[in-house]
Amino acid sequence: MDAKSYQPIVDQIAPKRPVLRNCFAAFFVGGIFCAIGQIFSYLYMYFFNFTERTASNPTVATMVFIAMLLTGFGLYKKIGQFAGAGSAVPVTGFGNAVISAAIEHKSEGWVLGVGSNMFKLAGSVIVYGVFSAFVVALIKTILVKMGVIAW
Amino acid sequence: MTKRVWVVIGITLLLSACSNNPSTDFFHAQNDAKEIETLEKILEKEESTSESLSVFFDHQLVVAVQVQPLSKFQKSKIEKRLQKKVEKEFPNHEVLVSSDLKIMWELKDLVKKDPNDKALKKTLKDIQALAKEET
Repeated sequence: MDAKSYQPIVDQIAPKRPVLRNCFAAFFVGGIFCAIGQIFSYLYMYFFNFTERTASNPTVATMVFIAMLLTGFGLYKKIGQFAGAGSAVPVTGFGNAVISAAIEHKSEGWVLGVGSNMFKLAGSVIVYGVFSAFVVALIKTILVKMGVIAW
Repeated sequence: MTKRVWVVIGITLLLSACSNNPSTDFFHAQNDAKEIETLEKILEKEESTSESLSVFFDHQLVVAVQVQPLSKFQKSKIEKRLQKKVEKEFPNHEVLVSSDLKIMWELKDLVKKDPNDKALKKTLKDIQALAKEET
């Protein structure tokens, strides 16, 4: 049996993915994360000397920290099972990726286990994050030079 | 039946959100009506803002505006445009136009307290420093 005739059989037998349901779950859970982030942003602005522009940094740090705690308590994987991309795409998914890798490799020791594997998954987030930031900045620079948008 | 009610509510909300005139508030330490009127004319022309509060004090002018949700992508552009317009009308003033919510809150706080000249000067200075912060 070659790969070509194998694929239709897989399609036939494999359970159908509830794509629409997954999309809605991801949309709503991701939206709830963002709403919580917005609340933190307003709290930082209200109680401390942060403006809309500067409040984003502590907000991101707080959200990542909360996601790390939830991962440690084993709650984030339950959210992830329900929401899929909705829990992975926001910045909270980054905290989850760091801590879950650290927990997984704890048995291999602190240096070669936790230390070297902590950014196993999160490393790719950083690499492609930096790269996509570069591309977006490039596009924005071009658009600003053309006078379509302002900084 | 309920569907129709939702449609009516939706349309009302949509229309009432669109046809809002910007609300403008002013606080002038010397109560110069002419200056307020000049500024009001500029701010009322700007349709993409929903709210504004301006504080005059001794050649300092801080204007906080809130941009309509659909124009948020153009926020910095609107801010710059207003800054230029206001600077042109008030060449003797140190002008700051900000669309930041924090600046709006701080100005509202300031006006509510009705401070004396010294406190006003210090707070306005603080607000101007705050608006300049990048990170």
